[in-house]
Amino acid sequence: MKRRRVTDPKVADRSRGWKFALGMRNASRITLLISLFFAAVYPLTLSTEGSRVLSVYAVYFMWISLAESWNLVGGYAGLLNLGISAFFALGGVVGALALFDGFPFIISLLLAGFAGAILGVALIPTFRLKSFYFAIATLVVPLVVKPMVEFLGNRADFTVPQTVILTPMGLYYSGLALAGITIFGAYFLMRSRVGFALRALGDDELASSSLGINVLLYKSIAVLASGFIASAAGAYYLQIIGTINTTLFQNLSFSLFPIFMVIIGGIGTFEGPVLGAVVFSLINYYVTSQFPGSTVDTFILSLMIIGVAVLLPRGLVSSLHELRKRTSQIPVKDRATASRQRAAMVEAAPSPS
Amino acid sequence: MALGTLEFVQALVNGLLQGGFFALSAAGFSLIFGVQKVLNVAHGAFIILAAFATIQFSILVTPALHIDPLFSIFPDFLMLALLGGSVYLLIIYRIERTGFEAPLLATFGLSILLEYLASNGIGPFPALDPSHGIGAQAQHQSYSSNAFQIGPIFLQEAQALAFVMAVVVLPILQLFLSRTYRGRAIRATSQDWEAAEFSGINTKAVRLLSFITGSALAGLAGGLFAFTNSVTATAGDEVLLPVILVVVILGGVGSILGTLAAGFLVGVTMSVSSLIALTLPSQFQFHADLAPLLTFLIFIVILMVRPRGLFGHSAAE
Repeated sequence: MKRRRVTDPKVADRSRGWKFALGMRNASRITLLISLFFAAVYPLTLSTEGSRVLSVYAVYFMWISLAESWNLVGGYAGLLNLGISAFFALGGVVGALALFDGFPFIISLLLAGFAGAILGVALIPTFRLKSFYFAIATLVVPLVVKPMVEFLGNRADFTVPQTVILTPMGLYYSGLALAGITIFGAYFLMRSRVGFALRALGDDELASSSLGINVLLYKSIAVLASGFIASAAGAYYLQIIGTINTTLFQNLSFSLFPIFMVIIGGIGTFEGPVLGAVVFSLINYYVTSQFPGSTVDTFILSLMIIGVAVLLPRGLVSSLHELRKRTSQIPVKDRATASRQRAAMVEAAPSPS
Repeated sequence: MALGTLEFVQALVNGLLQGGFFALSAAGFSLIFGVQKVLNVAHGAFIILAAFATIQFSILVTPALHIDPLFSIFPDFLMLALLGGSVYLLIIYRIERTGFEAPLLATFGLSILLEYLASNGIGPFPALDPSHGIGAQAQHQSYSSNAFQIGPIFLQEAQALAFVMAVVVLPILQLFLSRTYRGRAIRATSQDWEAAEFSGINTKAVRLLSFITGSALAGLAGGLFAFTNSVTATAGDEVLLPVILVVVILGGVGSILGTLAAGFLVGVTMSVSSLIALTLPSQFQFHADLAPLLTFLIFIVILMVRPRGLFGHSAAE
């Protein structure tokens, strides 16, 4: 397995030039590019009146960015971050403060991203904790950041005036840009030395550090990148709903829904979070529109989460690959095997005590 | 405001009493986490479920049969044991070997489900009267607000009850884990499940047993929570779960007496830091949040110094 990853066909394929540069190596990447194209063209087909529909899709872009940012740390580096809502909510708060001070939207997004990266730096000391302990420490992080933000800001509610909120069209395109940059940023990061190092240490930290990989450095890079994206997504979320309340910090949903999406789509894959976020948002939108004004959607969502966890514990993509492998003896050229191996490793790992 | 010795002692006592409840809530989580390696994020929701059941009991059963609502912790205990057993067999058992994420998500789904049921008054959850605010409390004033006095120190009756329960139940649990065959099987499985299986332990039964015990402890804690606090549907995730996590990690996973000690520690830290927060200038509106902030900061610092918790190498080893 290890050897195959080093002589990864994707790397050997550099000679294919522009195709490599665009990442058009297999079906999911082509699908992704085509759907990005259609997503970019779609608003042009709408009338001015119809463009209000566009704000519905903003949530899709937000979830894609959030899931992809979780996947950088949780999927590749194998560090189970259960506190991404801290980054997300901090991004929202910083974005709101930037907008109060009269900065334009794009600057508020960047400032939020930098705040998230700084929070990521604050997380670096927790890297010495072993798997479960790291997970629990990250679960507590939002609860440390929340009172700090309230204390410094001396308020719990950050509502921005309507005048600084983007139009549906602007919201749509900035979301598309955010998601697109996130997707391709993650893609190229994972194709670089950083990405291979992260996957290696996600598989076996001790082995990769003895091969000369600077574990601390690469974990820090992953957490910084992930924090930047998650906080930018938070500032974008502020544009969607117009207000950020600090209860967002302790909202477990924003920490765990991204994990759910990544698992549906396939953990540790590049296209998994996108697929998962889109599937999740589609189902969520459909259910919410079926039962307007009630909370039944929460009920259905909870059943869906339990159902997915029980029936597809390794996600849609991996399960499909397994099915394909079982029916036709085609070797699986995907990370399904890796994720199964990682699952076996988690299971075989000695008890943390 | 100057701090007198008396206020300080009072805060210490309150913290100890509160800490007993924290330990009781965290013990079940610690047991499940130790054996199953499942982060049961629904544990807070389990406690809320039991708390609502106690409230329902105090509304429906107490006036009719004149049974003290305190007795409802026994039905709570059984109900949660049953719930834990079925959750384990129907959900966790199928996926616990696929890794860490799937069981986490399943329990997360479960906690959303229970929160939904609670906020809509379905099942054992009473439909909350909006005129009472968003929370509900067990309808028995003698426990909710009574306090008795030892010298100049006041003890809240309900909190003292939770404290006594923790001090009695957790050592019994510890004896069960260290002296009986089944208890030792639980500890063996938590240390190395493969070796335990090779030694002829039925690890499936052990996992079931530990899940049932852990959930039943949530039932006990929940019954007492209804007397000490105002219960809301989301209190499990927002109030209880963070404290539970802190106590479990400080106490060392699977160590029951460590959990008890860590519970006291966290309780005292919270209570004393809210006392300190009161002395701050009042222009800080959010000084009440200083208590959790200090507690979680201390937690993270301790975790940095001792990555396996304060008592990580005691009883369970």
